[in-house]
Amino acid sequence: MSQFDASATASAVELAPAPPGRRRATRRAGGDRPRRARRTSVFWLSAPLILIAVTVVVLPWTGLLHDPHQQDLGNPLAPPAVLSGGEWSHPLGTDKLGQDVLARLVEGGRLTLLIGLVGALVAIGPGTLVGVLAGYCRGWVDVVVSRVIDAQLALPFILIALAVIASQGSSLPILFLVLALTGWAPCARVTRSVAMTVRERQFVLGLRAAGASEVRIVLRHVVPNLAGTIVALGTLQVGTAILVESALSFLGLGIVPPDISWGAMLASGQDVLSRAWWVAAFPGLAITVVVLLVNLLGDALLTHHDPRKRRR
Amino acid sequence: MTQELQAPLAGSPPVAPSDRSAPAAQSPAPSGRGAERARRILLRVGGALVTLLIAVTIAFALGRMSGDPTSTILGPMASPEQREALRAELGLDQPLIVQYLEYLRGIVTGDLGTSLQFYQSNTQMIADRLPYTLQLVGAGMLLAVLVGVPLGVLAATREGTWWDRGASALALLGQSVPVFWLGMMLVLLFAVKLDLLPAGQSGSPQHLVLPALTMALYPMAHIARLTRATMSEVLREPFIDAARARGLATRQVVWRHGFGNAALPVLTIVVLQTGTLLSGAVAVEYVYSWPGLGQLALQAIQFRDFPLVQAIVVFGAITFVLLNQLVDVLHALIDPRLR
Amino acid sequence: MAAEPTFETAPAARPDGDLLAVRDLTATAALADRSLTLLDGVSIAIAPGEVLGVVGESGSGKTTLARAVVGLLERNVSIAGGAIELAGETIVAPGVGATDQARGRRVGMVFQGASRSLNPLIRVRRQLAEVLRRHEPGISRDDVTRRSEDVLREMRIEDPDRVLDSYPHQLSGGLRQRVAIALAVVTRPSLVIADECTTALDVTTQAEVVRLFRTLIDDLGLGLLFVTHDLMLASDLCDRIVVMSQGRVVESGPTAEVLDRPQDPYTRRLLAAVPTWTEGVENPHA
Repeated sequence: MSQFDASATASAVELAPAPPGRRRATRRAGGDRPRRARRTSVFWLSAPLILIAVTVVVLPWTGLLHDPHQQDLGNPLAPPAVLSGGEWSHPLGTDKLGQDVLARLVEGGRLTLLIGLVGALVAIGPGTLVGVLAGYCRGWVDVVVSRVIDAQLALPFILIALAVIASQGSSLPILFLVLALTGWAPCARVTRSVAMTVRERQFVLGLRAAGASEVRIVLRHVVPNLAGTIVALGTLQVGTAILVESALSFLGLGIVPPDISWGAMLASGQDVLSRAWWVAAFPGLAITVVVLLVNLLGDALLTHHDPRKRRR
Repeated sequence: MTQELQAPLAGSPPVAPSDRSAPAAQSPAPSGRGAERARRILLRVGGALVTLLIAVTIAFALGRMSGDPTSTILGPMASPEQREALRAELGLDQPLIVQYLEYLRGIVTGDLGTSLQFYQSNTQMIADRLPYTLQLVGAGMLLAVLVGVPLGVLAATREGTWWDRGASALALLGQSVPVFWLGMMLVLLFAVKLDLLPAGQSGSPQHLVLPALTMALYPMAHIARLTRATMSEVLREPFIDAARARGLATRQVVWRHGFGNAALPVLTIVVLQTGTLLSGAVAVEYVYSWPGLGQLALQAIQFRDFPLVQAIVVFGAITFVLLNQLVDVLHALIDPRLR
Repeated sequence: MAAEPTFETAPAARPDGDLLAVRDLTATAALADRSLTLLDGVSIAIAPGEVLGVVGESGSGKTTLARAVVGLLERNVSIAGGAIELAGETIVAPGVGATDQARGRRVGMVFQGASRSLNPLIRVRRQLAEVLRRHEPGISRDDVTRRSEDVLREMRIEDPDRVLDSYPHQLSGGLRQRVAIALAVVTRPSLVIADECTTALDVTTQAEVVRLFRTLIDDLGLGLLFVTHDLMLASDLCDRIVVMSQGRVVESGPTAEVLDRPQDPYTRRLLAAVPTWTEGVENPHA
């Protein structure tokens, strides 16, 4: 039931176990085409949308929007403009300190997206490294790494994250550390498997027979072959990182005021939920939409680079 | 323990059942087969134990990393003598290795230490809260399976249609919504606006509805997606055509022959998802003030009660590893080829 | 090769009535950007107790023909013209799909790769019982057991009980093949369709299966539509042969006639590809 595990997000379906011991069914004539076409259309749909989302959030809106930190205690919990009592000066209403929700959404989005991107990178980096090492070297390295991956996956991750933050204090570096600690394992598991299949492929065997150095083989041939899968996993990990951040911030242990993230906005909206739903609803919606888009994109990318399809 | 999940990606292509079983079936020495099986089981259990050992070691390190607990308990004003006395009482004056061994001995005997906050046995407190979390997880998982499986089967039998697209989109959406936000919105809608259901606390079946619904969404989406993916592969299998050619009803073909063969990965995910119950329960129990393990863990973290956090983490890891072993057993029960 | 006049387009109806008659059947597959003709005016007929071989390369449309009879076409394939009649009753035509009550009851089908046409998770006993119960509702438990054992004995299986209690993977390839045939004939259909059912088998097992079919036809008087790419095998078993290429019947007639005096250039090429027929050496892939 953990939402915070990349292996459990969208990727898991594509990487899901085929029914054990069964040969892969051959695709029938005409069956594959519309499917691929659909995936491609998903790609072309979600990629621009993500681009738009990022652009909107990153563009400097100075002057057009309120200062996200500017409090107006005379105007707390103002409803969105379209509701009765709402004003267009605060299109999405204000929170309990009278701060503009829209401005905070844009400001919070910057941090949230940053955390999503960096959070994915810090998980994918070590995850790939370890996975490739284990999958390519096999032997005892593989045995050890596999066990550690299993152990990592067995631990109730969110508690670990909370405990680390509680003991070390919450700051961005600690947040990234937590995201790396908890995100590397699923990624390592997948890259390990892919590295293993690449290792056995004819051209790699040929290169080794021809005396190419192992380091060269890994860097020049194995890693490029993994690139597609890594990009797809990284994309999915962005969604996971955003969800993790929002959960931690919601529980008061991620981004804390005065910093703004979508998760922190959710937390501030909880105690006024019955009086002012908009304070929590909009950041939650923003998270959902962005994560959904990222998952769609990652899913589409992963289908293009399905390691099982490449094997034959 | 997760080898099953990796199998399709693993280096050697998955062995077709007929290829694998053929030599075994012709093997003239049944005792050799038994020994081989025993060896396999032993390896598997041994592997699980090693995994568990690593996991509890990480938990131990986590507990040590949190610094000196005496200041948490005694406050900043305590005298060095008081601290020293407490350290001795907690066994913290021992060398690290002794503490570690003591910790392992405790886990083996079911003693997960004492809470700094409640001065109670951690094991006892976990046992007290567990029923609530089990209720939540049980109801949520049931809901997830009851909705997710038919949704996935529906999508797979109508692959490429709008039904399929709708179900798949719904499932992906389910994996993208932040759990606690979903909880808040459900509370807002059903408890605050419509006043149909209680918003928090536990006690009656009505109290369970919203938390279980919240808990269910994510695994439901996951199960639906996995069911669809697996089913659409199984439905391409020749024995499905053969079953249809024998004139069996569509219901029989799809469920008995189709889903029967897709059930294994789905069941695996159901069990494994249950294994990560703690992570899921934290957010849901927080939103609904549900007095389960997740709530307890949050309390422990808030009060820097690291022995309790550690105990809950260890409990979660043990549960997960045990459930993984259960998956192995289930595989063998369901698929005769794996026996 | 269009509009080939060298063969009779529709085999004349025989006085005793055809068991299966396919008339001018045309089937098309809708692809993403175009439609593809899989069957183009195909006509065949089978009398009770007769074995008709349908021979052709892969892609010739022979499997589509076989699957059309039991209504197991792909979702994107539709019948554009012609009809299939089973004992005088139209079961397939454009807009008509009445194969449901024929499938499994009046027509049995055996597929290529028997090991994969059995559900791996269910014992043979239950798979047989399932078919019997489906087509004979209310059949007693004893009858199910008796009929299951009987049909396996008909398949020359020595110890039906052991086989019944086995999972498919516990049986040898030959046994699995026989179980698959048993599943197709246990309901006593009047027609059996065998679609490349011997392809994956070794030579000895192939010969056994052919012998088995022969006995079944002689004992039960059923008609057999035997689809294969293997001319040698077809000549062993079939009374008449239909040669298909690119969705059309290019030649048909009694086995000896087709093989000894092929009229169509395609048939000649097909025959030339079989070493035995031209050079008298052992067929390497028989």
